[in-house]
Amino acid sequence: MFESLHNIFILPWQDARLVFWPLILQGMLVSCALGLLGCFLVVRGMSLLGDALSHAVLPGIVIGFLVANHFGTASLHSPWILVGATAMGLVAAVLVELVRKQSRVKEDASLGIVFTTLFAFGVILVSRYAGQADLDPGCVLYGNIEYFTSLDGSLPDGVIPMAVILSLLVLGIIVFYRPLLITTFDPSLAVSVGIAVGVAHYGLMTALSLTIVASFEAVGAILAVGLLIVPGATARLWTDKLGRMLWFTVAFSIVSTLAGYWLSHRSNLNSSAGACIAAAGFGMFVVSWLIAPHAGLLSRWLVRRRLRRKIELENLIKTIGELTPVAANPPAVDAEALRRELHFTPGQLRRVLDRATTAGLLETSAAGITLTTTGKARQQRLAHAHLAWEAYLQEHLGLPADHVHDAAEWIEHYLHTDKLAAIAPATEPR
Amino acid sequence: MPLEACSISLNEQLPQPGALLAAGFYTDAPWFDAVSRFIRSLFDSRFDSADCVLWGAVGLGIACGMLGAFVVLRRQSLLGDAIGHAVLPGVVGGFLAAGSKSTPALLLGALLAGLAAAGVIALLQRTTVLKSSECMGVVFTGFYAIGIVMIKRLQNNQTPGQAGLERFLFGQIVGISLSDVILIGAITAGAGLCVWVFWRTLAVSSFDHEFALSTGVRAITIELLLTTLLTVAIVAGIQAVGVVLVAALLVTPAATAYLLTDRLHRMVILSAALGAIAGAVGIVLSIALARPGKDMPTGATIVFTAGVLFGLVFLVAPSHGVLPRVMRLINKRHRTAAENLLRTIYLTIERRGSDVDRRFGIDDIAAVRHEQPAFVRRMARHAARRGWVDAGSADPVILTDLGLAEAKRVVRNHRLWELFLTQQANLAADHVHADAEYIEHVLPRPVVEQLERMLDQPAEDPHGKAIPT
Repeated sequence: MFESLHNIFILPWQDARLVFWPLILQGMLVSCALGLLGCFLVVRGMSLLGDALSHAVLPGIVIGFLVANHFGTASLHSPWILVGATAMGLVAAVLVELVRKQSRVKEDASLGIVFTTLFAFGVILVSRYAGQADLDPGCVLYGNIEYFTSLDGSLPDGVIPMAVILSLLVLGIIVFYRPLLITTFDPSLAVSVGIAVGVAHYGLMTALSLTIVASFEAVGAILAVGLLIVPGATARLWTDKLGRMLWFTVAFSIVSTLAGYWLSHRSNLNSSAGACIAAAGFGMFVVSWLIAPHAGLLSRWLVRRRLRRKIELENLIKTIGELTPVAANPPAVDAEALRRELHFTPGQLRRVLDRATTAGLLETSAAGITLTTTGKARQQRLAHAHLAWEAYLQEHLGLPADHVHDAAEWIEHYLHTDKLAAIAPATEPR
Repeated sequence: MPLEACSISLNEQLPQPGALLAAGFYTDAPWFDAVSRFIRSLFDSRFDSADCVLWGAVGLGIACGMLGAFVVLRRQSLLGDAIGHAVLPGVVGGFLAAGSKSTPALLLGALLAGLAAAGVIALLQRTTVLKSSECMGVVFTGFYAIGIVMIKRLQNNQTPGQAGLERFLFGQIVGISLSDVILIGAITAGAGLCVWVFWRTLAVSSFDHEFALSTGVRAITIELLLTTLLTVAIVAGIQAVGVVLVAALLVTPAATAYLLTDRLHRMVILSAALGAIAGAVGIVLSIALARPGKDMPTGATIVFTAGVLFGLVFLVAPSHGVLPRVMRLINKRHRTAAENLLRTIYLTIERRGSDVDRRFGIDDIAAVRHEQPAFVRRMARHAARRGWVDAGSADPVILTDLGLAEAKRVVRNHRLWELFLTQQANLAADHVHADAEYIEHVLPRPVVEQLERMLDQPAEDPHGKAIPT
């Protein structure tokens, strides 16, 4: 048992031929840089801008290549390409804003038009001016972290620039955290305290184009978008605070990189670490969706179940109270009558009775069901809440007496003692 | 920065023109020769590859344009891009199930994956705090990554027959076959029929979702209907022409139509027509502009044509275009300047006590208005263009009868408004001039009549000056 676990989880990391830490480092740098930017996109509601920019930079790449060619450096490693692509990313961002602001076309459509058109323009440029440079078509689709490296221990080409970009990003986020925070959540406030909202937006767009282009070779265009959005969205499920979200994102990015590498070696997918990282990130998102503390499906289901049980229980107690004549020593209530009154199934009634008995709210005897002292207190509080709310609605909202019952029927389960105290003094139950 | 393998290979995402040109449509002759040969081949007796390409593109343009109108109105424009990428694991699943790359199996798999992705997106929207764009982004990249991992797995296992599976998403419009065209035609007809049958539901829910729900339409029904139609169109589209082209055909023609009309049925028809036009024009252009060694990729040309078409409409559309709006703004500004001139002239007339002498020196007006004479001359030119002053005389300005009536109207608006502010809004008499200065240019006739009734046909403004009639 431990032997096989060791084989699955530990061994891959120990085999020097399989694990090449500089590559993992590169993967982490790429996914952290994209993830941190993605956080801001997610909270600003601009997630798909990353998708659009990753396509729209193509003409910039081609133009950069042509310029580099013109200056005699016929290499595709030229910084001109990065410059061209970043500039084109900014042009795309400006065009998206222009179309959105100057026409009735909404942002999503504006994005769709601009990125497809620029991408098509890039494809036309490629086939007309750079058609000779015929290279591996797989790279931009899947990315290929291991494409540029040998196993002689040297750093992959992309590591140093990516490290520089990530440090600049982190520095930028630390220095401009406050302006970024304010422009993100309250642009009007930002304007009123003198923060240049436009500068923040286009600064973010510049960083985004630069990072996306720099990460293309590692993970490819579509998967870069995945690494951009998924960690941020996952973090969003875990917390409501931007600061914590950034930390969560870094953690998710690192874990999904490791998980992705593990997956790719485990399944002999040596050439598609990028896809594996993105798939692992998606897996973490799905898991978070299920188990995240407040936003997760599981915790939401638990909260709902607790509420449903509470309402069932309280309805039961209330109905027992209604079926019991007012007397010093009231007779027990028949279970079958209770069930019909509540429209419960027999199984449901049994479960609710069990829970109520465990809670010490009622006692079951051969004669039927009677409320305990605690049960009676609870029943009186419910009745009080019901009447108080009815009176409140009549007096303060002027609703007619025959319109208030349904509302009170619903609110009585939520009206806690403190709120009741706020209402009750003004409106004594009648 | 090593971008070697990335930069140039992007063109794999859009189809290449090779096949069509190789089929004999390309010549060294001037481009109209190539185009005319292409067009002639469309009308000869047999239905050949040229006809397939054209009708495929036109049919897809119609289907996507029609559905795109609803997508754009519902602000889900990027759904095409998202579903288009999310079908990948379904394609691989279809391949695994069938054991070969049989088209029906791949299409069915893609359809199921597309619907699953749309379902997960909808579920995420309902159960999390994430906005719709985030849900889309997460789901489509996640599905895509899973698809790539599956493909890599097949490649590493050297599964027979898997080669080229990843190209499913990138379609080859020039490699479109007669069966593709028939499929696209059937889907276009089916989508058209659905839109016609469910017109009311679709229309209401696209504009006012809450109202649609309140009339008893089930949200899930509409979503399911539209998503299924979309997924079918997208799946048929991508295997024929590729993801980016489908995404563009879903958004661009519809957004273009949205700028041209305010009526939904016109928008749908226009959008379908624009999609068809972009397809046809794109194909013709890609043939016309091709040169030896300088291909014109067909799919990209169609997308680019659609984009340029949008750009043109964005600039010149009659009521929503940028240029007409700017023109209206400039016109308004000139009119305001001319009206200000008229008001100053009218005040001079009031001081003179008679309107017998209609001549007013530019310098005098400039002195009253505290403005440069050159500026007043420009105002006079704007007034002359409207026939309010005599165009023949630059200095002095000579007021026409039309100009006098107009001057009275402007002064009247001004003073009525001042009166309204002092009487009804309780402002002090010395606080109302600036506001009236602005409003006098924009008060429409019915409002003026309402003011007259409200103020009981007044004769004097708060400053004791007569309100001209």
